[in-house]
Amino acid sequence: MSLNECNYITQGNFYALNVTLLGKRILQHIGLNPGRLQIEFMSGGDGLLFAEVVDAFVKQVQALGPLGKGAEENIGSQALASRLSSVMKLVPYIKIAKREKLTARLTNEAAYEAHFTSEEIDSLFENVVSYYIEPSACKACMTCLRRCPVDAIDGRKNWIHVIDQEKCIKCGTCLEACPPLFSAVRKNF
Amino acid sequence: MEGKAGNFKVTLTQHPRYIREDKCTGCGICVKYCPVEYPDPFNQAISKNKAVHVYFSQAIPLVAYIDQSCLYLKEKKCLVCDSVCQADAIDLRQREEKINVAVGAIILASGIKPFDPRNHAEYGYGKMQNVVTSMDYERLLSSTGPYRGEILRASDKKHPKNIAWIQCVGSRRTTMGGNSYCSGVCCTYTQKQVILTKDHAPDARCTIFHNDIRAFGKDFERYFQRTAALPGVRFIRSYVSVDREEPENRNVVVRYATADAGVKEETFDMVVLSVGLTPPADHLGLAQTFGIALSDHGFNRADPVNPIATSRPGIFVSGAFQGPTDIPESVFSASGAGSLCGTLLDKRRGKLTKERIYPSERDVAGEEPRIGVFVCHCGANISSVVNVSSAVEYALTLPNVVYAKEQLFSCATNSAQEITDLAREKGLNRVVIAACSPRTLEPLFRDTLREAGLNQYYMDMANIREHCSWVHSKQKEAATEKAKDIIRMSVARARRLEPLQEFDLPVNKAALVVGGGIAGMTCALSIASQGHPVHLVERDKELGGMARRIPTTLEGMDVQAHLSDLIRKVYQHPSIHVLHDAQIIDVAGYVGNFETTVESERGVSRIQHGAAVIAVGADVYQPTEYLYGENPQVVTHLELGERIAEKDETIESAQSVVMIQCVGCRTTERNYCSRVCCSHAIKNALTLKAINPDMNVDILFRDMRSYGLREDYYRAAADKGVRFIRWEPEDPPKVEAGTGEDGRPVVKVTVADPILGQRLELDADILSLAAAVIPSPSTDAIASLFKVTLSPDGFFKEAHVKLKPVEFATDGVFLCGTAHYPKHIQETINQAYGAAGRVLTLLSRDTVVASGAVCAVTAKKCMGCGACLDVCTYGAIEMQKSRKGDKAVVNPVLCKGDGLCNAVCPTGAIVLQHFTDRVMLSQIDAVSAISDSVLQIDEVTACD
Repeated sequence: MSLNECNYITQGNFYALNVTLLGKRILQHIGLNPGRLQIEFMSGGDGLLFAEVVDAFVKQVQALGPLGKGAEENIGSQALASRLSSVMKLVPYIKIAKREKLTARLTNEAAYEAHFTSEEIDSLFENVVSYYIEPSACKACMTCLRRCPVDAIDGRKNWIHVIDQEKCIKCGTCLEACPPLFSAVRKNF
Repeated sequence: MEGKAGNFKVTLTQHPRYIREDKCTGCGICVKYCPVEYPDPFNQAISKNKAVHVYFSQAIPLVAYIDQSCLYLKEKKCLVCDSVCQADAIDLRQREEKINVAVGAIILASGIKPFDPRNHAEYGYGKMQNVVTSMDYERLLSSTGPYRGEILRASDKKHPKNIAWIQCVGSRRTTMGGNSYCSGVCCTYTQKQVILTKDHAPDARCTIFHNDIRAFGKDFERYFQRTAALPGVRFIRSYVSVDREEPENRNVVVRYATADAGVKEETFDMVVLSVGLTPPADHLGLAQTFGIALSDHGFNRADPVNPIATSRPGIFVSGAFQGPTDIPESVFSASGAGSLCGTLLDKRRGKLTKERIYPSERDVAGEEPRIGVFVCHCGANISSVVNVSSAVEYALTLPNVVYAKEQLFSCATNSAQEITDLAREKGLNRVVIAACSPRTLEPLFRDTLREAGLNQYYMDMANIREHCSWVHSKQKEAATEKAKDIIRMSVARARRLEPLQEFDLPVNKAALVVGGGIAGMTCALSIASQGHPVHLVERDKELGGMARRIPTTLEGMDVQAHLSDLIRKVYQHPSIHVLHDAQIIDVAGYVGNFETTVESERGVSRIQHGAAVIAVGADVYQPTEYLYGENPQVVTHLELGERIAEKDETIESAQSVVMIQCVGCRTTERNYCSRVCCSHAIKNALTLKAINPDMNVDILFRDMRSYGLREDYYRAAADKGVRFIRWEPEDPPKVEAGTGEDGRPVVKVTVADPILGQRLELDADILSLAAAVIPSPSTDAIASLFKVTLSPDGFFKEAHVKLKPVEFATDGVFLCGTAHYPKHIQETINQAYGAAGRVLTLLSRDTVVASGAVCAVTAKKCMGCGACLDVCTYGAIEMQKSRKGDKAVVNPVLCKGDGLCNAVCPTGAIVLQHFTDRVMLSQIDAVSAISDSVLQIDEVTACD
């Protein structure tokens, strides 16, 4: 069935599809088989189809073996955990960078594959932005510090602010918040 | 039935069900053991059912009944059902009962009966096994149908690959036993069946034999195009007969006439008869009992100004007893009947209601979770597959579970009471019900918790029936393990649940109606007559809208007389405040509490209201084709009707009038049918023929869409000599100015007639164009003010095409009239009452309740990006300025808890309560009792 057949107007199924397509590319990027994630659309009357799809998917995942141990995966547990954790940390950044594509409405199945490309996702991870505060320009005015959604900025009144890169989620709020007169927050590509 | 409006006494005969309704839980164990099989009436007798069974799988109440084929009822034998029923629900001594009820109003919603083609030899139904009706086919398609959703032939249980549909079976016929009217719904339901057939078997070939494709409903034209574009689908315009059955394979041979190749024969694996709608089974008895008048066709005899009323005050009709109707019309006439009853009985509103009082809620925030698990047998539905005792033992081993118990039926009144009592006695502060889907019984169990003095959100349902025992009946051990998994996940979830408060907001009792046409005025009067102030806002200097330009309807209703009556009633009503020359400048607030700013003849006013109705109507297309605006002899149907009513000399003395249909719609630019123009053309044609029977009237059409009872007028027009000539969109009529044989100035119309296969040249004194109905120019502005959406064709988009045809996704805003889609005056009146009914449902309450399971924002984490705002369908999120930047704020009354905002929020600032990441992840982590990979991910995600 096609996605716009839903009579309710929320149509979240389009978004679910986008997130899945993105998720598959991310799996691929960190060396996991994208076949571990799948989305299928069906109506409430498609019980038999549901069973069929789930059975096939279970078989497919069983054939792949445990996470990271698949034929072309071969990632050690430590490495896997660290890759997963670095991806998890970038979720806010990815959501911001891909905001438009994540809310697109793909009506044509042929367009699924190309919605996110491997090159695009590889480059997304290779060119992760970072933000830092230029100490010479910072007037320690607390504006960015107050607005940072994750409390990643250290500092006090009259105490130059510093971004804790471990905590930073790269949302760019500080860049926007810093008064243009100072322009102390810088973006690194 | 006796009495009068406001005070009827009705005696009902209740046939015995032989089941105690209050005890039966619908578990179905009796059905399993019953030895008697008889043809299942719900599945069109294609498959068998038992003498005791639940009528169909979604029946409400979900309670069995015993049919007369029961051995005990026939021969006093058997009683096996009684011995296997664990709920003690079987009672074979029940007798017919008389019940007397005293009511103030009566609604007849008796529906229709499908046409029975059995006695019509030309279709072969009942004689040839592979000829089925569309009702039979509907069941074949259904996953609860005779072959569990597989389409099979009766003769050999093989999948048919070549199927034909025959339209208009029992409809549009004047022959004996047929109905002369059009059933209105068959064209589109057939298309649905074709699409579903192609979903089942993509290589199936589908052929539809039809007379006209009547895709007049909202979005139906697009639906038709989608069907026609499928590979292997043919629409053939032809009358057909079912000729014979081929003895060797039981295929069906059909004969039909074509324009180019004469009579042809074709063989199909299966033939589906698209049967029409007929009045309810005992319509004559019904009419007699209730003392109402019927039309010649056996439907309610409609009052032209109120299709919901009957000839007897206090008795109303909704749905297809008005005449053939589709679902949306049935739904709004039902809601409209409710509003009319409300008007009649307003003084007694609320007199019989009782308020429930719950014990006060215990604060358990500081306590460790103490979880009680109740595992339901569901009779044998669960326990025949899942080992319930073992599941209970297992539950007791789970962390924080302090009590577990099995119950025969957790939903039974005594079991719910037991849960309440045990929750108190054992000091439980969370409850897990391992039973069925929360879809049906979650409200009941939440209520159970409230009775126990616990917050109702401290409950979770583990669905071990639909998700387990019903689908794994053959793997009992694995099913028991899976039930344990589901319970473990549910317990993990319950541990993290938080108490949530639902809260009440007051409702302003006034309504705002935008638009003072027939829709707006009818709706305003209906609301005001039930004691609510109404502000009626009209763009023009006077009321009436488009109806001012319509002298009569096809059925002969005097529109102008009705309109002046409506206008007088509106002005005289003390609770209706009319603002003319008005424009809405701003709309603030939300359901129950709107404030709308209107600029009108009285200056700027701020109106407080609880509900709003959008009834801004539609406009008419100004044709740019067929010399309109260049040649004075070319007019629109609307103008022609006005000039006939004015007794215009040029019109009355015309020798020839030609009408062209579908001008400006059913095109790529406006890909919809304007619905009213075919009837409009027929109306004008009949009036012209009445003035001068010798006048030549030609109607050039694509499909005549005189649906429903309007078909009779189409036939009358043809009988009176009106010529109907069909044209194809690839070859539209050509029009040029010229002179007639007698030298008079005419419009020369040339059209290719596909039946005669030649070009006809017509000299018209008047050329009348069926100009499309287009959205009102104010539509866009109104839509953005009220935060409601539009359909692709530019009309307002309702919340659900079928089930919520007068509501918007935005709560508290309602819709009626042609602003929704082109429609006839009677349909508009139905919908206007329908919108009033929905408004009353809201305004008659003192408060609106906001659910606890809605979204909330952690302001600190919000970076003010607005992504959530963009995806919210319900306009529930607003950005508010603060000294820490813009922050999203959720209005819990408007939030529907769909969670789209959660998915797009980069920082996780917006969460859906009751379904927070914390709650969901704890449940997912418990999927597997021990698993390396889950643990790995756990470490990573342990950020909360």
